[in-house]
Amino acid sequence: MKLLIVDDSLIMRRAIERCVSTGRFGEVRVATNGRLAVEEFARFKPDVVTMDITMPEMDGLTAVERILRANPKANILVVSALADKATAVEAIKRGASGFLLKPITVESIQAALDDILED
Amino acid sequence: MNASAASLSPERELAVFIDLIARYFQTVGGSAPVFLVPTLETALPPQLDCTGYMPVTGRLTGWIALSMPGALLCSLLDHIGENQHDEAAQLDLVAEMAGTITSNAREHFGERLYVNPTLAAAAGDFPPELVPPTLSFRLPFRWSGQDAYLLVALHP
Repeated sequence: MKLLIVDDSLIMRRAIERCVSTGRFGEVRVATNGRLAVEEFARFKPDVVTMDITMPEMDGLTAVERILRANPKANILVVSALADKATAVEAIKRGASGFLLKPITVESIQAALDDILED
Repeated sequence: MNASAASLSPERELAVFIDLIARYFQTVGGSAPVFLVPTLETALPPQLDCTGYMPVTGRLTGWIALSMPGALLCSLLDHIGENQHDEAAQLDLVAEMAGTITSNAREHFGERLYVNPTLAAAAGDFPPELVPPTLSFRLPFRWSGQDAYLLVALHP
């Protein structure tokens, strides 16, 4: 399986990669903003995406919308610190498969990815 | 924004940030910090080794910053299993922390707090995009034997 990690923080991208490095994902790629995520999704065609929201150039919610417009079956887990309910609802309204609140733990991100991939 | 968010008192705002910093350190570092006496500042306090800034717009404008010594950041990097401990990694982490703690605060402040991508600066540097505050609120804390602080520079 293939995973695309989208976050503007190098430390967060590597933390997520370590959290999921249990052999489930044979190939992992990264993008540092929403615009690059849309481009990388088209090339890489990942099974699942983890998507931050607050990023430069293009935010994660816009990227979710653009990826899903071209790929309606894309699995996207929004991973954000924005803790208000309106943001989570907006992410789901735009088509995200799940919403995980930062700060994350190994257990929380593995469980969130399990939920998405089991569906 | 809900009614309770609109009427948060300064004491309640302080409690919100104490809870969020404690939650971050508990989750990522395994233990909560000890909070010290908060102060009102009339000038920009001396920045520690690395500072992460979260610019805020909306009904509240200004920024919220987290200023931390390098040793504390290296200790947190160890906790998350990160081998890279140089200044670039420390600046990345402090920016991510400032962004996470401020963004988590939207649960309490709602649309009064519209967050933007974070900025980071080493000691002695101040992001040219930001304006130094004439009045700010400093919340010092200690974790793993190291002192750090949160600086809230917001106005309506």
